[in-house]
Order: sequence, then structure tokens, then C-alpha cells
Amino acid sequence: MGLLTVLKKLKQKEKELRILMLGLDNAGKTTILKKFNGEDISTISPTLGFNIQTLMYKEYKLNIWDIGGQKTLRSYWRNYYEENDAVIWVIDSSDIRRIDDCKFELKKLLEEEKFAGASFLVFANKQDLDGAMTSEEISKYLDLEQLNTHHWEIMSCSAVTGLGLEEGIDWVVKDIVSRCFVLD
Amino acid sequence: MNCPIFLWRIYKYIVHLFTGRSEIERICYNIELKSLDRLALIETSVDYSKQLVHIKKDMKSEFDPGDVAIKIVEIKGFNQELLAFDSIILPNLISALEPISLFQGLKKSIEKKQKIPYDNNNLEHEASLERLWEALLPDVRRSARLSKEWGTLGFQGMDPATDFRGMGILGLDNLIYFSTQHSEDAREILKNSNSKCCYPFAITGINITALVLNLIDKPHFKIYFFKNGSTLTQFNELYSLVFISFDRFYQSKKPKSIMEFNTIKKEFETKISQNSDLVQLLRN
Repeated sequence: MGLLTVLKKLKQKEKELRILMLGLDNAGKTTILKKFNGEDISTISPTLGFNIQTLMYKEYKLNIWDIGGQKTLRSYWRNYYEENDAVIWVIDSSDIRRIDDCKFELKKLLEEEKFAGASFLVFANKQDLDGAMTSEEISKYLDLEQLNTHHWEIMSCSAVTGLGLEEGIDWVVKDIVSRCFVLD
Repeated sequence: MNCPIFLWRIYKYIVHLFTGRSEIERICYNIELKSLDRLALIETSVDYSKQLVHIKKDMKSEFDPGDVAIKIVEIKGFNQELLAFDSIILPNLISALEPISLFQGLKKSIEKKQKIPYDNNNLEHEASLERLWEALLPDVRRSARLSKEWGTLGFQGMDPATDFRGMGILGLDNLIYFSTQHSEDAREILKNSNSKCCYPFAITGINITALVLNLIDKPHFKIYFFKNGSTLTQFNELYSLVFISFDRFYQSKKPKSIMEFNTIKKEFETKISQNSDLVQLLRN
């Protein structure tokens, strides 16, 4: 392998981003990824364990680790905490019954030292449903305004209609890039 | 089809020239063929035919075998004199097309069930859910409708409703059939899934529904239905076989944790995607 090839490889590697996607079960993590990739979202079943989905966005390759949200799986989440460029937290905005559960898990996650320096996006999903909380309401309830340990953003979205997905991913990529790389 | 398609087209042309019969005509005329083989040959022939693209489209949903047979005869220009005196070709063609139409009909009813989302306000749905509990844990009484106890069956939270996702009522129907018609196997698997190599029984079942749907158009899956009949009961039977087979496969892999589930599921899917006798594949 010549020097040029090595350099080229390194450059390609630079454009690969690792993103962790978490949230309670039924938040819509897998559906968001499939919708973004233009895949069929009518045949989703619950995620057991995890999936890795690759999204191409602009010149970046995003390797997204989509981990199942079931309670019994949450103790395994920490096995995937290393070396993430960003964390995406997905919320079912219509699930008011479990918003406290969501707040509790999120708080735990944000205290995690391994995420220091990672960009942090909250997707307020299922905005297409009646009775969904707005991103402002969620942001207030989850005390996001007080968050100063991460670059963060909250984005209203609907994995069913596709609303807000691209904006969210765009923010994640731009934020990582502005932190880590010198722009070409 | 192993030979290049253009060679095959030349071959067909030459045979047509000599016998004066099109390929489908020859297949229908060959009385030594078993009906399943004839069906497969006709299906392939239609698939590859340039003249029959519309017929191929018709055959993607339920169709009238008689009408389609007549259309094929017209488009392919079957020998009319022969047809008039012959009692083999048309009946053979129709009876070969029939199972294909029934299979498409089954797919339609499956899709219909899949599109019905689980609805908490639907009494029928709620009753079905109770039946599932009854079938698997007849001696245990649950404290409430919304309860963590659903976790014993392998649902994720307090309300199973959110776990059916894209599989809808079909996912629940499959689970109920398996749990009532193969109750010993189902209870054994439920017991294992809570003790040995753990995985949540119910949502695994919903994943199995998705897996079977994903493979249903594979030739060996279709043959299963051509042989056993394209009915919802047979779909449920196949589902049960796949579930039992998956459980055995999963246990044999001795996973360290549930996080290996998807890797094992993919391996299993590859295994049963091989084109060979499906029931054999599932028993091994």
C-alpha cells in the first residue's frame, strides 16, 4: 500500500461518523432510520438487541447504532457508549404516560462521562399524532435548557411523514463537523 | 435458469419452429409432468416471456385462472385446431394457474390483517389478547389490563398494544395460533425463553411474523403453500414451524446475551432462505 492510498483511506475514515441512537421502546428509532433511508416502514417489528444502519448524508457515512429500548435491554446500553460522535435520543411525544420514565433514563445518560464532547440531538417524534407534546413542552419538562455539558438541539419530527428528519440529521452532522474537522 | 437467457430464447425459437408449439403449449401437453413441476415451469415461462408481461402483472394479484389461461392461449397463438380436439392443454393450463391465484389471494388476506393495527378500544382485539394469556399462562391471574406482568409473556412494557407495530393483528393471530394449536411447544419455548438463553417470547414471535412475510415469495416458500394449500391455517402452521425451528437454532448458538439476537436471526434467515425443501430445512 502506497502512502497515497494510506492517506486516502484515512481521509475516507474521517468521513465516517458513529452515532448512537437510544430511547424508550416504541419511540420510533428504527422507523426514523428506515424512513430516512427511503425503506419500507410498514413492516417494522420491535428491535431485539440492536441494528446497525448506515445512512449516507452529503459526503458523510453515518454508522448509526440503533439499540432496542426495552427495559431489560437498557442495562446493555452502556456497552455501546464508547467513541460516539453523537447521541440521538428519540421520544414518543404522544406517550405522556411514560414521560417520567423517559426523563429518568435521559438524565442517567447525560451524566455518562463517555459522552463528553458528543453532540446531542433529541428527536421529538410522532408529531403527526393527536395530543403529541410540542418540542417546547418536552424541552421544558426534560430541563434541556439547563444542559450545558453538550451541544444539544431538539427537533420535532414524524418518522411516518418524514417531517424534521433531514433537519435533525443535518444539525448532527454539522455540529460534529464544526467540532472535529477543519472544513475543506 | 442456469444458461444465459439469449441462448435459451434461441433454443425455444428452434423448438417452436420444429414442433409448431410454444413452450407453454409443450409444458401443458406433457402429461408425464407432475402437477407441481408443471406449475413451476409455467410460472418461470411466464416470468421470462416478453409477450406475457401483462399476464405476469395480472398474476401478481388474485386472478381468474380460466380468463388468464384463455388470454395466454390467444397471445401465444396456440394451435387452434389442436385446441378444439384436445382435452389436455387447456385444463392442464388452468389447473396449473389455480394454485398461483390462490396463493396471491392468501397474500392479500395476510396483508389485510397486517394492516389492521392493534386497537385498545376494539373489544375483539382485547379479547384476543386475553386468549393469548389464557393459552400460555392458564393458571396465572394478572392484576390488571395494564401491567408489568405482560413481561412474563415477553412483551416490552405494561401494554402489549404498542408491540405489534407493523405486523398488526396478524402478529397477534400468529401468536394465538401457535400458543393454542401447538400449546406444548409454545409453553416449552416460553419457559426456555425465560430461563435458559433468554429472549422475550412475544416480541420474538412478532419478529418471526415479519421474517416469514419477508420470505414468503421465495420459491420454496411458495411451494409449501402450493403443496399444502394457500390458507390462513397453513400460514399459521408454517409460522409455528419457523418459530420452533428458530428457538432450536437460537438455543444451539448459546448466546451470551440478548444483544446477539439480531446476528443470530440473520444467520437463521440465511439458513432457511436456501432453495430446498422448506419443511426439511426447518426440521434440521
